[in-house]
Amino acid sequence: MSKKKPVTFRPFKAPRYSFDKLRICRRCGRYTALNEERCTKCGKASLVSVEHYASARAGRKMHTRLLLVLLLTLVSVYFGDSTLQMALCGAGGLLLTGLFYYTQRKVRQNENLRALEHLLAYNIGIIKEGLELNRQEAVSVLRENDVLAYEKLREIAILLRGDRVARQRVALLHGFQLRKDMDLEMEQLLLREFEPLLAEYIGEIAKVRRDLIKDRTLRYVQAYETQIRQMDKGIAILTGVAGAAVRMKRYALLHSRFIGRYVHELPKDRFLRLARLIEANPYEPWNGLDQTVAEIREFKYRWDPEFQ
Amino acid sequence: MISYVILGVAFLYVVIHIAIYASRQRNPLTRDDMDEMLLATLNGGDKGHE
Repeated sequence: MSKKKPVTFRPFKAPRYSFDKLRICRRCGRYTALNEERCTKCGKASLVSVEHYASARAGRKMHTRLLLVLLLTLVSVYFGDSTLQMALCGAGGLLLTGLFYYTQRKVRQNENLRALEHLLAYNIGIIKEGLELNRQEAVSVLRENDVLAYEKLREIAILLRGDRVARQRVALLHGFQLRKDMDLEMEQLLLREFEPLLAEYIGEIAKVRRDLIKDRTLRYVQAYETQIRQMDKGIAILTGVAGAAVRMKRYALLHSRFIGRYVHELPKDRFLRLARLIEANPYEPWNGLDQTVAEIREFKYRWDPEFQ
Repeated sequence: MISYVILGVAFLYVVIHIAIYASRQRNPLTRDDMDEMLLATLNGGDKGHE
């Protein structure tokens, strides 16, 4: 009997840039990738996005410089020997301030990005520390609420893309019942090494969301084909992946040898899709897959009206 | 005379900063560059799983 748990994830949209996920506490300077309201270190509701924080810093720096020029102008007016000298210094100083203000406005966007780069580069240690605390926080809620732990790890994974977080996510996903309507991921979870839980997950994805099986997943499956074959449901996983690969002509052509090894096991709808692909593109290099398909078609589906 | 000297200092200060801004504008940063740099640093020089 299946022990998998039916769950619902909160909607999730990955930001365009990874640093959009990062927020900093204005009070204590701690970084976080999670969506908490208050900083977990100081408890203050002073978390702002790093981009906003860096822009504010760049703006403050620019204002200080502008004020310094204005101050120097005032001092030069104060020390003027005559009214003419004071007027000349005042006019010259105002002109300089105006020119400086105009230049600052022109370069503001670039300066904001410079400030952000500076912030991220000089605080990388603190950022790593903050993300590690986030990860530990996610792991700490694992026993009480595995869905919440998964959601937290999903947020962290935008920045930490190593095997450690991916492995924990795969382990959590293993306990969930996967559905088509879920916000599922595939390529982001691929590991550098073979992991049976990941292979099982790939098999599940091949059943519920074929569109997520792309080139990198296909290459992963082929790299660890021997290990997957030795698993309990190994052949079913590999057949599912081969079935998903016939979704696109490009994948079917690129991985024709792999598909050829499991074409006998393909369900009727996937086989029909492959047969039609080959029929529509008879001159492509199918590496013998076209012949195998023709043989199976003759042997298994000879009288099937759908194949006529 | 001292007022002209102070104004001269202000002038130099502005010129230096405008020169710095202009030199930075010649190699503008993009968000994509920063995204790549951050991911590479956080994931040990590897851009990670794209």
